[in-house]
Amino acid sequence: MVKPRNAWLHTSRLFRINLEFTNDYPIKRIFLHMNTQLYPYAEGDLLTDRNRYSYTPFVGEPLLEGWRSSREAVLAQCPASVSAPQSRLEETYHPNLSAQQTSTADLMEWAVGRLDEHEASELLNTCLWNLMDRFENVKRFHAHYNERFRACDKNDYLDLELYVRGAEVFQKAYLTANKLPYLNVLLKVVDTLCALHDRLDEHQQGRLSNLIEEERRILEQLAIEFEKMSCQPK
Amino acid sequence: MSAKVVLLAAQTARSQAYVQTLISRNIEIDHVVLLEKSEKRKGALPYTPEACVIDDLFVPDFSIPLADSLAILQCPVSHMLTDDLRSSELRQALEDINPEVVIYSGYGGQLVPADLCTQWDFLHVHAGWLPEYRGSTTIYYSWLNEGFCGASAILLEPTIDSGPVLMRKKYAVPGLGVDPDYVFDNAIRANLLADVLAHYQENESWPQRIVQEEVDATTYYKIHPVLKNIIARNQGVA
Repeated sequence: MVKPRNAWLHTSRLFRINLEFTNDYPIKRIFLHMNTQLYPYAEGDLLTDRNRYSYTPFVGEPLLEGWRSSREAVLAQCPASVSAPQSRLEETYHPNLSAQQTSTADLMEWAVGRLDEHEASELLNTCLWNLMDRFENVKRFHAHYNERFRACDKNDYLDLELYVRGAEVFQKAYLTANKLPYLNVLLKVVDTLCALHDRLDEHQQGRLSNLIEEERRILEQLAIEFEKMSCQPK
Repeated sequence: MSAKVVLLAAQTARSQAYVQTLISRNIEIDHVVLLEKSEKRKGALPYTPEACVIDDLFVPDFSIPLADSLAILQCPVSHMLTDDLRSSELRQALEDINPEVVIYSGYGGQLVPADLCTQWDFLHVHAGWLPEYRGSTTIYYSWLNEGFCGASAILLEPTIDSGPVLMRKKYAVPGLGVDPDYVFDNAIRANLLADVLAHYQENESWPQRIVQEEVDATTYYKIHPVLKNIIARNQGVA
């Protein structure tokens, strides 16, 4: 399903910069330079020069402003948002994490199916946690994992569909379980996708648009809830 | 030679905070083993934070060199010409000292080898409420989730953040002008360390030794800068 570009781009508290600016090439270049300075986490070849996210600045609004404009610059270059596809796996598939080789793509498809059906299980939690642990630790998704959930081939991490699907999995997981680790890894995968957005095909770019829009909605809601909690008397 | 309490220290802000706080509370250390910094280890602060006040907490002065504070402690200091926790030099030093307990304050990102933490009690203070907040940057996660920060004193086990909890404490979130990463994190760890050591020295036993329930445990990874700065904005940083 293709969604129209939302009006929130022009009005949202979290995304303040008008998209029209990005159609003007010289201004867009300045704009992108500003992004890099304020929010350097979604730039460059992040599958090679990986983010570490160590001791990131604690500066409040300037960093959030940089993040908004960085995401908006990517949105300006991507087609309108496309919802995450339904699971492409047969109902009969069941992951076996003790197998010598598990396909990451199959595991993600299975997780999407279970999350869409709102099915909770220990196996699903373990799969989600393993995928999260791998990305948080190495900032890559590998094509296959072994029984210890380590890459079968350390050089096989360039399939960008895994990153798009991985982000969709973590987004659904966060919306289902409301656990911050899923949101944390989602933000990092979306950083990687934004940095590499020009390597995605058109359909994947549309799905990235959807991820960015959903990410904004989720963070707006989180910021509101956090503000409310902070205002409550201790 | 036999010493009750040994501090395994490094050239880090955390060791500065620990030593200054223990001095401020008149808590004695019997021996210090100091791991010297190598080029690959970064422990010192990238800047000297401005002086600040945190309610009910001793705030270390990071402009005071560790060596100056160690001189005030007036206990023997063994200088290790290594920062490698697997070195035979370190093991030999600990065997010679024969400690009852080793306060761990080494360089960031290092894990105490299993053979050391099974031979001696290694006391570590984690900046997070255990077992609910294991892993990295957990003061931010509990701040965002529940509006508090925590610290837990544990005895190290080979698996990270999983040892028995000796004492844990909740702290009010830091106010405006307090650097959470360098100042607050080290100040709350040092505060809890002083509390647990004070109890140990007074009673010759730990206050408790609670095994962590795995079912309550969640492991967190380095917090994303956007989540961190939602907190900062709410705090009024910018």
